[in-house]
Amino acid sequence: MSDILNIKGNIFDIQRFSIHDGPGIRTTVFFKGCNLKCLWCHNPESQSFKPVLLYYRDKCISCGECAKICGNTFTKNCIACGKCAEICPQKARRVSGREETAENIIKQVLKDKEYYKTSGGGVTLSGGEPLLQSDLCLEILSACKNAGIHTAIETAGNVKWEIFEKILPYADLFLFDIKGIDEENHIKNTGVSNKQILENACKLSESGANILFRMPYIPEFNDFEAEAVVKFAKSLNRDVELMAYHNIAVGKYNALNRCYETEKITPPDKDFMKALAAKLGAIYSPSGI
Amino acid sequence: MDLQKLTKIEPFAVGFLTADREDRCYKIAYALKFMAENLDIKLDTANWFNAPVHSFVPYSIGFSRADGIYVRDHEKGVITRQNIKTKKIELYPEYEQELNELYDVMRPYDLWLYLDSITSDLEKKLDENKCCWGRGGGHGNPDFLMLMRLGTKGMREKIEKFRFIHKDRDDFYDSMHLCCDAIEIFAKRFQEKAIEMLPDANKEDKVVLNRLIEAFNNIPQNSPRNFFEACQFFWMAYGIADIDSPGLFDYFLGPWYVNDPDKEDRYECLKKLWELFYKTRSWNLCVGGSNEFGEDMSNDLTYDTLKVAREFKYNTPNITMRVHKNTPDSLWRAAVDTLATGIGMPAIYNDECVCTALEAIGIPPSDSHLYCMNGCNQIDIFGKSHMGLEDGEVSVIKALEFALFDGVCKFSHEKLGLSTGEADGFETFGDLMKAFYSQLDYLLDTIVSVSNRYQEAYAKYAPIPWRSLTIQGCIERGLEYKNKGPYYGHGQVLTEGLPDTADSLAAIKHYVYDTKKYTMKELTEALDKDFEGFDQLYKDFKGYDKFGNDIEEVDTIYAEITDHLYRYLQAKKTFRGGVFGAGCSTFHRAPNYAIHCGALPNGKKDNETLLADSIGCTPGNDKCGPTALLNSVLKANQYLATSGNVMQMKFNKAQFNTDAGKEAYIALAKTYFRMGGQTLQINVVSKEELLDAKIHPEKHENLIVRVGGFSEYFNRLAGPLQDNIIARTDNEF
Repeated sequence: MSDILNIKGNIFDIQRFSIHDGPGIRTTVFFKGCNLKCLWCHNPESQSFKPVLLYYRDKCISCGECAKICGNTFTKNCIACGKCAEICPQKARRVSGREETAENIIKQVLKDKEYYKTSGGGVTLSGGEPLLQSDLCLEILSACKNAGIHTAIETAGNVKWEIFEKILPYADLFLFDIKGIDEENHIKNTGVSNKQILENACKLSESGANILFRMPYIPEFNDFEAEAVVKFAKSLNRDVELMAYHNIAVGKYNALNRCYETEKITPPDKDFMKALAAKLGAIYSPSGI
Repeated sequence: MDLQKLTKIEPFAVGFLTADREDRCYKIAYALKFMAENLDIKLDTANWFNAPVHSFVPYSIGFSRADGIYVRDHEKGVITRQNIKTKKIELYPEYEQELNELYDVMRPYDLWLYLDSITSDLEKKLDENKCCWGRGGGHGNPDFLMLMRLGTKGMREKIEKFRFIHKDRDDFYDSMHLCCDAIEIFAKRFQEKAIEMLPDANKEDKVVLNRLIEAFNNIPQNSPRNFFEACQFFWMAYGIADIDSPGLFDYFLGPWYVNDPDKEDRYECLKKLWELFYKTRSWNLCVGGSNEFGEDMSNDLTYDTLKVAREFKYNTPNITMRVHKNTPDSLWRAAVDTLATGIGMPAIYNDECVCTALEAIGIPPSDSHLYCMNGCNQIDIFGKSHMGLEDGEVSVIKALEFALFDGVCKFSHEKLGLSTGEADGFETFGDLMKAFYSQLDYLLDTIVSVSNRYQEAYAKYAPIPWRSLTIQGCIERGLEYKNKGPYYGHGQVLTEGLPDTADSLAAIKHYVYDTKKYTMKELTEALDKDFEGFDQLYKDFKGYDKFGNDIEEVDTIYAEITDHLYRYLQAKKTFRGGVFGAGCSTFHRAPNYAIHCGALPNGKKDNETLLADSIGCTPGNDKCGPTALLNSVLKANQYLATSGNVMQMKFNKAQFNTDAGKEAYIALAKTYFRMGGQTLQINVVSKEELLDAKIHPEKHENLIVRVGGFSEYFNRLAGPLQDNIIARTDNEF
């Protein structure tokens, strides 16, 4: 057991009292690393497997403390070791991503066990793409299952079917993202084909797993596919949740010194989303992507 | 001196001085009756219900006060004992000479002068420098249910029954009759006034006046026949009780509310009552709860009270809702809907925790389940207790300051504490804790000593006959309310800055004793110089793990201090025949306590005003979300908190107001209570709203923020307190 618990993985956050990542009060573990590069991604710091440095320009007072201790502060050689973040008096620098053992993560998750019990909540693995670190997923999920905690996993589904097979017995709920049906548009938006994703979705559905499909609804990028996505989910007798685009992530893109392709999009109106969901027979998500 | 002249201006004092006996309780009851006979009565049909206090326009005298010179005026501010003389003379210049003479005659009866004479200089200094005080308090919850069930007729029978047992207490029992006389006279005069007003009244007023005339045919001699009469009876009794806390509102008015067939009219009555509560700034109103068998006691009035609160969105009275494991889901939903309006109420209290705590100090289950909140959030037994409210207050962080500086107060730079030795002489963390506990015990001992002296003085100087009549135990024992009459006479001491002390001690343990990064000498020097020139030390101490994040090391220290403090107090007896208990009701006092201590090892600088405002963490320190904060708080044994705690949390409005948000809150509260939590108070506001309110107060006049057990409009808070509220981390969902 101790060997297994020593499995390490890269995560970038553990958020307690999450209420929008599955039923009840949950603890969400955010895995680092993703094989999709969605243009609207609201966790851009999660895409790389390695730690990344976020630098909030508006907080910086150019005191030069960071440059004093490290010559690579503003260069491409920066390895996001985090030393500059530690000494920054303004907290204008922050490192996202850390290595954590399964044991530590499980310990954190178990702390709120009582709250899960009352609310029907549990643990949710999110990311990034958690299934890219399937051993860690397996450890956390099986330990939680043993402790009687509800388990959920958020996935974009772009992994081999074998990984799903492995996880299947330990996940009570799959929150499965479908970002589009049209392959060409999918490649344009996310950088990868959706062939494997849709295949996995079908297989997973056949296996009888508990799935909630979710579609990020991004005007101009994939909004025209909403009907097709709902149709696809319905063909599998599953529900789909429409999650409206929001641009809260813009600050993170700036801090990562990256361009945010969808920045200019106006987030869809609440009532519009509600009406659309009703029209298509989908579920409206009040929290958005 | 011609007292007759002052009958209309100072009826209390005149009645007091012309009483035919010397017994203090009798004199005050006599003065009450004298006021009932002589004060100008004003009947306001818009209010529907009328009571002496708010009818005394422009002045009402708090006639429960023995010195008789405490006056409050809801329109022109409070007249206190300090400015009474000048203010009254300003108003009635033609009576200057008589008033001057009167106050000279009343001087020997002045409670405050007497209290001053029995307090030592050191005790006064400890009070002035916000280390501790033990003045004793005044809230009380009359048993309106008993009063309304028996009527004054029944009360008089009860008085005579017990006079037969305690044959030597005639003065006391006669004063009880005088109280009954007083309320009957008020009722009669209101009725006469209504009859007098009837011919000239318009159609609507006529209806109200006729109802009042009809009601006064029955009350207060007999039990009310409908909800309208019950409200009028209650309001009058409540007014004479000096507008305090209504107490178990749905418990004592519920029987009439439930049985009133006219559902529209009863709700109209409730609305009128609600407006009156607001106008008179009533304190704490309690609904819900279970009885000793665990059965839910909620009724229609419970739900409608929450409804009327949602409708009016007033900041007073403070609403408390008691919950237990059988509280229906519908009531939980009603409470959460009310919270979602942003009024910060109801505060939720857990029966299982509070009743267990009360039973542990000897209150039987049948009575422990009659607890309600009084004042801000002090626990009281409805109609059966005099629990101090509040007897004293201790600044725990001051005890640490004393321990670090050998008893020297860093505000006054005087030696006010014990000599426990220079801090760099403490070789282990245990030595430091020993010194800290010595200082803490010293402060607690001071409170107990001062408070018991004061309690005795109150009994001698400031009896409250009306409360003796309406609070059970007094008539039964033949003893006055302040003088050990009520069944339960436990005491209450409030704590300040406990989380901040735990943070400070945890940082010291880590940096001075465990890692030895700094010496104690460096730390005390840094504190002396307000961290000037100690940048790294400041950063380390400020950045160290804080209470409220589910971190074992810090939480353990917090739990240990809580345990010590609460148990130490429970071993102390009150003059009233109970034990002292502790609780926490910091609210608006926190910044003031912060100012009175110097720089602290938790990173608070000398001039900063941020101090924990509840048993939860210092605002802004809870970085791991609400479950982590609650887990931290749960490390301390809340079954020891017999005087009531405050546990503040702030939720983002946009998120709270979703179905998922409300469900999550209910689950959060239920879990917390199942694990032994006592109370939760919620603010539902957005940070932007608060920041904007600070800049544009005029745009946010409705913004109510719950500060401890005390709800207030944000704009009315002092600057530092506004910062305190804003800093409290948004618990983003």
